[in-house]
Amino acid sequence: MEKSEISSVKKQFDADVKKLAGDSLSIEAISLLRNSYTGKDSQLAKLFKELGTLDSKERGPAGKELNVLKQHIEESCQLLEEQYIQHKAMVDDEKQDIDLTAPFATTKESLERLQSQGASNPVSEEVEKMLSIFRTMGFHIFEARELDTEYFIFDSLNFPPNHPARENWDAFKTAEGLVPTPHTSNMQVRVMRYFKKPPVRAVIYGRCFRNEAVDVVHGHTFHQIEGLYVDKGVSVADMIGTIKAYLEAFFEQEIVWRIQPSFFPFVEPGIEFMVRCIFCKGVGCGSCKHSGWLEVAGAGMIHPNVLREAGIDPDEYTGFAWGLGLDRTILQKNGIKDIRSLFASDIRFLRHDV
Amino acid sequence: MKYSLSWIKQFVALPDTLQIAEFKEKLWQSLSEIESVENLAEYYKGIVIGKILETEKHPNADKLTVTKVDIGNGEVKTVLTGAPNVRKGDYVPYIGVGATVPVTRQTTEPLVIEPREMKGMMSEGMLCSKYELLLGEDHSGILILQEADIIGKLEGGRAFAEALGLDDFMIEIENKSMTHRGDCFSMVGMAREVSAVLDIPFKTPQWLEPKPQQIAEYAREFDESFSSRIQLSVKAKNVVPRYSAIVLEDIVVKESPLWIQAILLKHGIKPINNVVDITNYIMLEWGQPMHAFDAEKISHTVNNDVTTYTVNVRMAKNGEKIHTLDNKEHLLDTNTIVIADADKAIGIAGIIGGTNSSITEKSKKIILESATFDMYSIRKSSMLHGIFTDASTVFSRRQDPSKTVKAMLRAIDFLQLYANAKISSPVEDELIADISQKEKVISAQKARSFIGIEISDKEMVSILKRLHYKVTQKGDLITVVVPSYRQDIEIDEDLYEEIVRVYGYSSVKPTLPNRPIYGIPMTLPEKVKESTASYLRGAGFLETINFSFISEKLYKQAQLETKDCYKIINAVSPDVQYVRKVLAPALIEQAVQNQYVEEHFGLFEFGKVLRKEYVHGKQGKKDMFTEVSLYPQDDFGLPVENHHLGMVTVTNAEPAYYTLKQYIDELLAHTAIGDIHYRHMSELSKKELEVLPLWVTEVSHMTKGGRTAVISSLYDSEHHVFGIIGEVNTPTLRSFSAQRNIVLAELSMSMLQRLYKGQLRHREPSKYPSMRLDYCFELDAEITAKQLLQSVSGAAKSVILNGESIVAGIELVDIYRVNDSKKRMTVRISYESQTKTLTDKEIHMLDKDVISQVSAELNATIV
Repeated sequence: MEKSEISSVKKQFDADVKKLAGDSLSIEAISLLRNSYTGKDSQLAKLFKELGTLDSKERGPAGKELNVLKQHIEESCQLLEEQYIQHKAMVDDEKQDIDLTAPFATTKESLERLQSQGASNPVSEEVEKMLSIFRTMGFHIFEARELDTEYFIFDSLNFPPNHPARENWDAFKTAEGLVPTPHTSNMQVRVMRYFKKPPVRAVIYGRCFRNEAVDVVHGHTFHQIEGLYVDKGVSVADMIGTIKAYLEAFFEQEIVWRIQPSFFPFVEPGIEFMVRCIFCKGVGCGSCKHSGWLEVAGAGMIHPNVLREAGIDPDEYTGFAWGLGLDRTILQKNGIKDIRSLFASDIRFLRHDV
Repeated sequence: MKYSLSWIKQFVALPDTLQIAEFKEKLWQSLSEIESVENLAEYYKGIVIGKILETEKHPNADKLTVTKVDIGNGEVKTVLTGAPNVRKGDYVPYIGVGATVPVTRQTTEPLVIEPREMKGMMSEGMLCSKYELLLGEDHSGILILQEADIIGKLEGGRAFAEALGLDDFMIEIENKSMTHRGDCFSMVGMAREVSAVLDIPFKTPQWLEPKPQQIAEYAREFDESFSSRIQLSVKAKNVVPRYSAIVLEDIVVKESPLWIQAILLKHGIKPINNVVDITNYIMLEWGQPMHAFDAEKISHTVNNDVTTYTVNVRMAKNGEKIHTLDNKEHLLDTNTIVIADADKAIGIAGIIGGTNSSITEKSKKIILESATFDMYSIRKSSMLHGIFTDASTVFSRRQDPSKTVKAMLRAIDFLQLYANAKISSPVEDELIADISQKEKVISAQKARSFIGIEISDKEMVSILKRLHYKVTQKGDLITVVVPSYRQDIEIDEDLYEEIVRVYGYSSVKPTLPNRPIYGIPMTLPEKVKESTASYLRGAGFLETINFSFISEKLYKQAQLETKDCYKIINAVSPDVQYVRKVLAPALIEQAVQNQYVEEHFGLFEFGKVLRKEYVHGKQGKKDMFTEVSLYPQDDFGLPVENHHLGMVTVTNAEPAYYTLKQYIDELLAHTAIGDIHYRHMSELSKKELEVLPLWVTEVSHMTKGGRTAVISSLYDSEHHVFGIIGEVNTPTLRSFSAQRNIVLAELSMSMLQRLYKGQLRHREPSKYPSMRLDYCFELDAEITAKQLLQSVSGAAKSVILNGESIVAGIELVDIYRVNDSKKRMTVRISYESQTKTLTDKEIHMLDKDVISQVSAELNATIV
């Protein structure tokens, strides 16, 4: 076997490849090419056979060279296939081969229809349910912004700059200094201004974001809904009564409640509204972390500075606000443990379990 | 913060009958959530102080010592130990048989002591080192107790926990629940709360309220009895309410007594040496962080045997560096307060000391600092330099400047007792803040109506008194003198809260506001969304939600760039990189994730998209599609958040396009949006392309050019583009490893709202039967269904019988491709009259014109 034999095969092959490129490229042509160079009766196969007749000194280097050639042929054919597929895809994708205005390709009956029941996302379902309760209670509905300024998220809500309470809201930030809102209260001052003057009965819903690592119980995105009530002579007792009425409509049962003092800069006083666990009736279960109580809402009487910021005279009016996170409630209601299921959108999850 | 119940009991005589659960419950209802309660005594069960009666070498093992230990009540145990340091007469901790070694308690294999044979002799129990008792790292030998190490008398048989104050409950409250209550970051503060909540008097120890003359004695002018003085200059006056300092000499730095170490350890603070431990002890007790500098390392001058130390409290210079006790070098700027001598910064104020002035075993003379700093300034520096210390935690909550000197006197007492300290200088004290007590006047009636309860003036006054306010009442007005440590009390509402939380929220009777309720109609966006969702659900689509954030990778897979997306710069989670500008990529991803779950399915999503080009109040020519804000003034300059509807179908059908298109047709009919056009990109005029929304163009990058239609509605003879539909193209399918055909659509919800014609109406049906006739036209292959239908409906306008228009519906029912140049389309026309039953003859009289008009217009023939 001559070295030149091997290189002439390579030369011939490369020339054939060049010929194939362009419009004459097809899967059949490539497979034909491959076969003629590596198949049973090919020149290459013949050369491999001859290897055995060489003496041991020559056999090694010649075998190596043959293998290099074989690999070159394989790789070139693969590349051709790749090129062909891409080219064909480009051409095919651009082909204007259907009537875009038609309702179907041939007949209505031939058209594939979705077979199973559709469903709302559990989050929208819950939001809708809550909003419809609020509507019957005389609340106007607003959706929260997702990307907002520090002014609406913190400053307008009586958070002084560098206040340690800001740490409790691990907020994301954009390069421009905008903040994906960590709570729906970013709308409070806007909405109060929108009403121009009390009475204000408003509900705000939307997505909130916290800069957290994601795991079974933590997500960086969650959903909140909050009520806002400003009028003459509104009291702490009114706040408790309204939250209670709302929660009873939502949970569709009478609730047992209790309150714990809490601190949020935009309310004074601030409270945590708790409900005796509706799943275990207070015995203790996974949903209430075996405490018998569910923390359902953070609430409080709107801080006079926030009212002032919204152009409302705190000497004349008082108000309250309360907010709930939806995601945990949805998990509890459906007996789901992993909070990531909500956003994962596995269709086995999205379909109702019947 | 962790609170020691036994420490609190030093200030409030809690009845022995009070159960910890009840204590927790009461505090919970009136103050804050309690994170946990830990019974430390559990850890030290079965451990007593033993007295070594005799020691001897083990006959069979050189390294073992056999001890006889008196464990009280005349009981003597034989204990074998490998430690070399036990002598006759020593007092040592002894763990009895059946008890658990504290350090192993939290591990997976707690070590329970059992009688154990060691080289032929039985050992009944174990003598412990500090390490085994969770009192430090040292396990080189048995802990030998001295009288000074424990509380009370050193004798065999005393419970170890009790002798070291470890028979305690530790109550933990999350720092964030008490952001506003700087005073509660101490045992004294918490004890005052407990006293108010449980209505048990607070016992004020003498040191808490030292007599003015006592303070004056320490803070007197310099005289010959002193050998040092401090040249104090507070330059950063607006962020340093008060700075006090004193020089102490003859200090002996050594380990603190074990009971002090034990207290620090209970609170999670590592013991260092007596001087540092004492400052930490006072911080825990009274919430006054202090810092001790080695005086000799601070620039000073000596004159007539009097040493004068320079202490400056100033803002750092830009570029100033300091190496601190956490063994890190920090580059400072003018936002950070530092303590400095004449030459250099020696500490970051309120946060951490510098190593250049730190206390070592050789220190003899110290400058003890007791000061308050502005909470915001401390927090900012702490965040900026990433240093979080116990002191910075306390100072990040507003602290009372009136206690700096008082707490310093308490520390001096301790340093004299446990570190041999002698006074070397007068107390240097610069008071910048106003520490006079605030007086607030509230109206009893206003408080009542704010809370909404029937409570007598007397009860309110009594509650406020319980909370340690000085209260006087005149008619409706209650005058409240606020103690200086209650820095959080600012507005009337703060006092209303004080009343209601002690009164008990659970005693408030819930009421509803007086204002009558009226129903609220749905807004236009709500109506359109609701109508859309209910249609899609009914049609079999599943609603998904996707994050508002996307990764660069996801957009790359969908042939999209991220350059006009808002970029998140501080995300912990790796997938949070940008704010999304279109919905489609995430929907494709979800479609692919589910591609093997079901043969054929559809997903939809409502979501907001943002891009840098769309900003409220700054409308460009491509912005006719963006939403208008309800709050134009407040939202001016902010990103527009456009609501989109995204949809996908996953199918094996070919062409796949119609599997989704049919639903968009129906959806638009359902929301009464008419005259819809599906056009190929190339059919758009140059002017239209110029104003085509960016997201429409972007979605077209991930769909097949030949099978993508821009969706618009024609009115006022203008196309209003509101969406795009197309089959996902080959590169995108491959980058997502999709094995199925995917069709996607994205629509602008705000455009749908603009086009929305209101609720669909029902019409009165005719009392006479309707008739349907099919017409099959053969046409050139390029003629579209839309063209045919338009032509037919145009022609149908002239189908009038006795003045009545009788065409009730036109529908395409069949498409048949004859060959490359010809196709046949069948149109079904329904006829209906309100006045009579139609006959074939009547219809054929009229439809002749339709056929001929269509044939002429489209060069068609009827088949």
